[in-house]
Amino acid sequence: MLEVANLSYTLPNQTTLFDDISLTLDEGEIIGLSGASGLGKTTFAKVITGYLPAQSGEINCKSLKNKPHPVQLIWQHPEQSVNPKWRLQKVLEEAGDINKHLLNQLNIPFEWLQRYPHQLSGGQLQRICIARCLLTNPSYIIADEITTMLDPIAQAEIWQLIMEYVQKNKIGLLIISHDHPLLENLCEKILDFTQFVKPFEGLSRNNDEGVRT
Amino acid sequence: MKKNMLIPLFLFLVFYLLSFVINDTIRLDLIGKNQAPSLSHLFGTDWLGRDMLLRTLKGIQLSITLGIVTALLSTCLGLLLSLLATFNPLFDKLVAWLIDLFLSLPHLVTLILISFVLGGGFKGVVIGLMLTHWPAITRVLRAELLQLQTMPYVQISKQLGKGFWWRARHHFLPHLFPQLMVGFTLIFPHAILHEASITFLGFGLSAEQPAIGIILSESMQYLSSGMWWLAFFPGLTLLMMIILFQCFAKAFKHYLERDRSYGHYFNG
Repeated sequence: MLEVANLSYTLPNQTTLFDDISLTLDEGEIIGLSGASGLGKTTFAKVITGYLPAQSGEINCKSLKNKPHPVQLIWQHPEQSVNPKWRLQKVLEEAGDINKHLLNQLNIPFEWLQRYPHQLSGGQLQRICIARCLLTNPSYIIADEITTMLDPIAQAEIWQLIMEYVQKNKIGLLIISHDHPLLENLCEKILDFTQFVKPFEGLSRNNDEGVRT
Repeated sequence: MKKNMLIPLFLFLVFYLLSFVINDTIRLDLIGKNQAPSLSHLFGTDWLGRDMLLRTLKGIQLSITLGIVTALLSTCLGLLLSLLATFNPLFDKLVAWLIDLFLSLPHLVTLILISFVLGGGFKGVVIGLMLTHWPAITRVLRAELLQLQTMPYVQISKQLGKGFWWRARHHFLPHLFPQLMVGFTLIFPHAILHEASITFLGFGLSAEQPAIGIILSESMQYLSSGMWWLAFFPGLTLLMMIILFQCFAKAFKHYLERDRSYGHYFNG
């Protein structure tokens, strides 16, 4: 079980972004996280997955040296998360040995592996990023708005593939999205990030929806 | 594609190795001194009647060796220092300070100092040139690395369990390759010209060694009396060698980055 206890994060300019978040994610559980833009959802995801150090609080999943982190983040922009100078075969091999069965499941043809990232479209690249994430055999996955830039058909396709895999392999999934219908379809529980956010003082303040103005 | 790469490399090597073929020492011929280019002396003769073509070919080998060794060493030093600077913030401060220090001193002064301390000669010049030519390329590489480190795919690599040196080798190097190539080809002629100037001042190679720098600095005294061929042909040869080298480097880069993705359409 992934347990996050009393997590808080402060920006370098001493602004507290979120405070005292506690959250548990079971294996095989799917939780949604929503909230207005700019509240710190992505930062929260980065703290859990080890990209940023937390200011205080506890996370019970830590990375071991030279081993992939057990909690993997899938980024919002697939174009930025693959090295443009690498062939996609190398991108996948970075995470582990290529599993043909997994590539079949994700509808990734073998011809793609010899291509460069700019020769694939956004949705195709996102599938590569998901494959890379799954190749590390993660216990938990944080999906940070991974289908925001895709059309509904491509979105449905990707989510179907992920849900199948996650349910079969008992992976905990935290979905960050603005898309409420999507979250209601996929998740057992939806959290609103606004509750974790400290109201701003001074010149900028939060309005009703928690948007920082 | 391969032709573009191999022809310049072949020509470069031929010119470079030609001086091994010239075994006999270059003779003095005081009767035929100061001759303009002709069929018997393609590059003319100098004030001692020595054939300039032979001198140039002999000289180009030493100069190219010196240029390549120096450029290679200072690019490597720049790469190492810029990687160290990204490894640790403390090293970064140290490297930035060293760059400032070396850039604030005139090249030639440092070069003379180092070369003089090491006793001149080939070794002194090479080490002196290496220690004065690294800051410019290190600065470029360090800036590139600072930017690369913030890229998502580099951060993802960290979370995939890859160590710093793995990332340096696989993520950073392909992005630094163009900068390294440009830095190398820029330092290369620079080093040869600096070798010429330090030799001219008497702190570098000894005058009996046939380097292009020595030929050029000697010809300075004769240019005003109309003997243009003394400087023109050796300079042109040097320029040609550098262009050949750059052609090869460019074709090699294209060859490495060639598109293999649609190969099966052509190969059946």
